Amino acid sequence: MTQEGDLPMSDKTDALMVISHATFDYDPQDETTRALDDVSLTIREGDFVCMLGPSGCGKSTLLSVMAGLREPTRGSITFRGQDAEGIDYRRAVIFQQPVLYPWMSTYDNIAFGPRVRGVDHDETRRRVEKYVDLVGLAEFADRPPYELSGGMRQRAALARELVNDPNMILLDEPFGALDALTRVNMQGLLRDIWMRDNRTVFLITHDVDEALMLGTRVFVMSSRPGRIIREETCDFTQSVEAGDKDVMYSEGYLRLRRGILEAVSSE
Amino acid sequence: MKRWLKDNVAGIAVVIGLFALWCAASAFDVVDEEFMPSPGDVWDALVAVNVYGYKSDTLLGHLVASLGRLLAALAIAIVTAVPLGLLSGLNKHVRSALNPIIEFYRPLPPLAYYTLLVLWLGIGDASKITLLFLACFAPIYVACVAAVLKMPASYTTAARTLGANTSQVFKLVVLPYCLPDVFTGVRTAVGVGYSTLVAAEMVAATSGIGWMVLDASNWLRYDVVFVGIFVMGFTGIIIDVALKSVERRIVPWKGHQ
Repeated sequence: MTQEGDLPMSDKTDALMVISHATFDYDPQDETTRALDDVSLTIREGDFVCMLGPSGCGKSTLLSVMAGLREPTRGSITFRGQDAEGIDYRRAVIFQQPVLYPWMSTYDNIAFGPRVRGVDHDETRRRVEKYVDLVGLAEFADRPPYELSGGMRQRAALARELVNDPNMILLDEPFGALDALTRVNMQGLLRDIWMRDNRTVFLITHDVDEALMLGTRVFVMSSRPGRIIREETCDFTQSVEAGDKDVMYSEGYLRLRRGILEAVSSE
Repeated sequence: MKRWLKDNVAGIAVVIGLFALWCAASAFDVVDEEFMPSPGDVWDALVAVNVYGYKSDTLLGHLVASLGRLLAALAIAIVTAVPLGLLSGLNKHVRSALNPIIEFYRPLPPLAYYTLLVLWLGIGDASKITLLFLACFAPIYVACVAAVLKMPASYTTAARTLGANTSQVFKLVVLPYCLPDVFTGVRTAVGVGYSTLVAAEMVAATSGIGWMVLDASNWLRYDVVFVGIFVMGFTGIIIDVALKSVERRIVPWKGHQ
């Protein structure tokens, strides 16, 4: 399948991931099992992409295809200019329920990536300590993960991905299971992490406010089979970072929010 | 200690009650004295088999003979059932290859094929250890298969997305995930093995605690029979308590996954 002509040249130069005409059928013989329908999307270095859509629309399928957990039935995905085949630690994945291993301390969970990849001992420790501090778990590093709260577990999961220094962080409704206060804290932490090191983030959510307060590009997906029906560019997240706490009451924000909600509910 | 007493008040009462019932039954000759020795008689018999032994060996000797067979069989069962069980859990072809064998022999009463084992392997320890091995293998194998099958896919997915290869996923994720269930399987195996052992020694042996009980009953030494039953029961409890404490030390995360 050709990708020529799909994208303007300016996008191609700093494109980190290019998804072109990706279709995914759970059963390739049966089109009624289609979860993704002809999705094309280019993610640039430094983007914070938020994917909104009704539940069951195929958002998670898209994420698993991007992560290399599933192969698209048709279409292609390139990552850093190469065919994105299989799983790759450079594309970090964080799920709604953080998977931390109870037989390891929180520290060892976070050190898992560098250790299995054979990063040397001192470098591993340096990186783990850095990110343990960053997510505010320094005092809890020696505890087993089941002694941490839900929010702390999700922070540990985030740190575990960050120590691998991924080019892209894929998050599947990571804060869905958290209480409202913790969720706001975690959103702030994720924004800080994204800004600090100019990382590239792809976040799935069903919360319009979460998408608008974090994303630089917000996509809306149709109900199943999922296709992208709307794209918005916004900079509310930068305003929040600059200290404007009332941006979510501004006229521009409310107008965009209403428009997106209408698009989602018309599906 | 105080707390323990409080929690187990009913259990302690039952034990004391049963003991009192036994004392009363033997004191008032409810059953013929020969068939129901008094606690005193049993105590005397316990001391006697300890000091002078019963026939070929002392009580301790018989116990060691029995436990030695059990431990040997258990060790072989763990070494074979754990890898095969985990492999079966991971690979449906291995599972389908082994299933007919396991499903067929598992429900068979061990004594049904024990006579064959004795014919093939002789009356010595080889046939007994083989019998016990077969009895111990199934519960450990089944526990391992079930453990792998119930493991959420996200456990291995997470490891792979962090950069782990297949052998690392097995060693660092699958194995520790299954360890608590392996322990449960081993505890079940010890229980099954222990009762099979006693039965096996009753069929053909010249030593062991099961043989002692059977031989004593042939000679109408019911005091020794009682000693044997008590020793078997308490040994079983001690083994299980010991396994539980090892379990707590090795898999402290049990119940947290």
